[in-house]
Amino acid sequence: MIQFDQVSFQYKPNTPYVLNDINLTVSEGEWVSILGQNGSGKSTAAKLINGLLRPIEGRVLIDDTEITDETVYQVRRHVGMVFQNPENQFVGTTVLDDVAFGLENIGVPREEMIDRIDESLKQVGMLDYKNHEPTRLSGGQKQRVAIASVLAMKPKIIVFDEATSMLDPVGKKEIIETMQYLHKHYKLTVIMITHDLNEAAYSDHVITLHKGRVWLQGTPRNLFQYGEKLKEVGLEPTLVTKVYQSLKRESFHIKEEPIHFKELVDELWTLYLKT
Amino acid sequence: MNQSLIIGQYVPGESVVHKIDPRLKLIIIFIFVIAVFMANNIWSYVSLYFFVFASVALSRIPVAYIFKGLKPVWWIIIITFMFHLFINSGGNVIVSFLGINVYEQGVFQGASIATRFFLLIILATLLTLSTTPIAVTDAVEALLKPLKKVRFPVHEIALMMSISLRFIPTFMQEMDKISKAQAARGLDYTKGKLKDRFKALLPLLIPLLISSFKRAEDLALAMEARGYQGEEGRTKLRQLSFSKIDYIVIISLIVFLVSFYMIRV
Ligand SMILES: Nc1ncnc2c1ncn2[C@@H]1O[C@H](COP(=O)(O)OP(=O)(O)O)[C@@H](O)[C@H]1O
Ligand SMILES: [Mg+2]
Repeated sequence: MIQFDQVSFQYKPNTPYVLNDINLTVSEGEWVSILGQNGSGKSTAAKLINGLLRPIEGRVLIDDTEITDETVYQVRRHVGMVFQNPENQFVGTTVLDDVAFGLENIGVPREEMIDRIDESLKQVGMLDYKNHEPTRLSGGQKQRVAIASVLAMKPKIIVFDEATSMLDPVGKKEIIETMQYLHKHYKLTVIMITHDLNEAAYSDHVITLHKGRVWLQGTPRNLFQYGEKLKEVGLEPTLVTKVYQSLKRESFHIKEEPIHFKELVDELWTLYLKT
Repeated sequence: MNQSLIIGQYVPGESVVHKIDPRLKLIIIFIFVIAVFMANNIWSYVSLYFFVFASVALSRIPVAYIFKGLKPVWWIIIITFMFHLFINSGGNVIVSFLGINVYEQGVFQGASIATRFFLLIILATLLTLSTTPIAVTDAVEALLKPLKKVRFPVHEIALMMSISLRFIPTFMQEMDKISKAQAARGLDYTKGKLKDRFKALLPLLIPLLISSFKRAEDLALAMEARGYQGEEGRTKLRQLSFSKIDYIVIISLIVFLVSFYMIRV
């Protein structure tokens, strides 16, 4: 579905490479998190996925089609993006206009547009706000409108570039739940850029970038095993990992490292029963 | 405050005036501007007053709102009136006090110029009260369309107008935030000499300017990511179409214009 083939990228000639010889493959329907500290090249990688940036060396392929000047607009229809700042990606004067914007761009006929807008606003639970102006919406609501705008274009892949990082805990939860619902229902491929390991725990795979290189590619469990070492690449181990690590230091026996809160709780009560 | 800015002065309503196609409203105003300058006797002015107040009545917008729109220009209207009253010396003297003569022609001239101002402003106010800014934008785009033939960037200008409308409240909010932040640091731009006040304004404007560049960059990226590539191949959700009301308005307008033309001398 998404393939990076020896991709290198620099913003200007004679500056350090922001991405260095990246090889990645993401399969259809996967939920993949891209992790890494500020400046590690996550957003740059995201922009390469839908052709907002083009690699200096190597190729980016979406559905086996290489992104080139000829294919970029076609590819962009399949790759939706939700950015960090809810305010700055709201193009329309109302919710309705904002969702319409993308559809207008790709020339969807008006009647179909009206149906698609209602459908996608319903999916994110924002149909009742159709005629609201952005000032009357919370950050989380704006992000849901951004998701609806992308959804209306019927993408196969959605890239979330730290889309929850400016939201309060309630807004964060809303967005993650919306994403999970869409991932399940539409078999959408989800690329989630974050530096919150709690969010990464939901994913099928994680890719950790460090200084423009892939530092680790594997399952969340693979990554969480690094424990305190994660701090070296600018990531903060989750509470679950910290509890697990201290239990291990106290030589309590736990079969497999828990990564979700529920798994930890299960381990704890079985441990309690055994002692 | 922010709310009122994005919808402009718009007073929601279901009246005939609200329902007139915004393109037709703009055309009516354009025609009215010409008519106002063609009026040349008392009865033609009376008919213009009738036209404007009939429109106001039909809009069902409280007169108080309309007069609020006049507030900043009252004094211009009065000064214009006075100016002509004292300067013009045609016809017979009507009254004279403190050695100043007021002539017939002065009264007529002063009254007609003041009337022109007054009526045009009321009609323009009525437009903004009965039409959302985005509808005005759509109308401007539609009416300027012929200019595309001479490469006039109609679509781009309309897009700029609507993005401005979208971001005005955002900037107001941000301005408010920055000014509070700077006030907390002891900045006061409401007191002192003009020069000092202007200097104090800079710490507000510079952060606003910087953040607006960041916003513009983000917005451009978001637009591009959603497949924006200029006007070509674009469809539009908002469509303007004439309804029965518009045809009735057009017919009434023609009737009015013909009678107006005959009333003139
Ligand atoms: N438009 C740009 N021009 C020049 N350098 C940039 C630009 N955007 C990002 N960079 C640089 O590229 C590096 C990676 O940035 P980015 O991909 O945004 O990282 P992340 O999203 O992981 O924080 C940073 O060092 C950053 O300064
Ligand atoms: Mg980033």
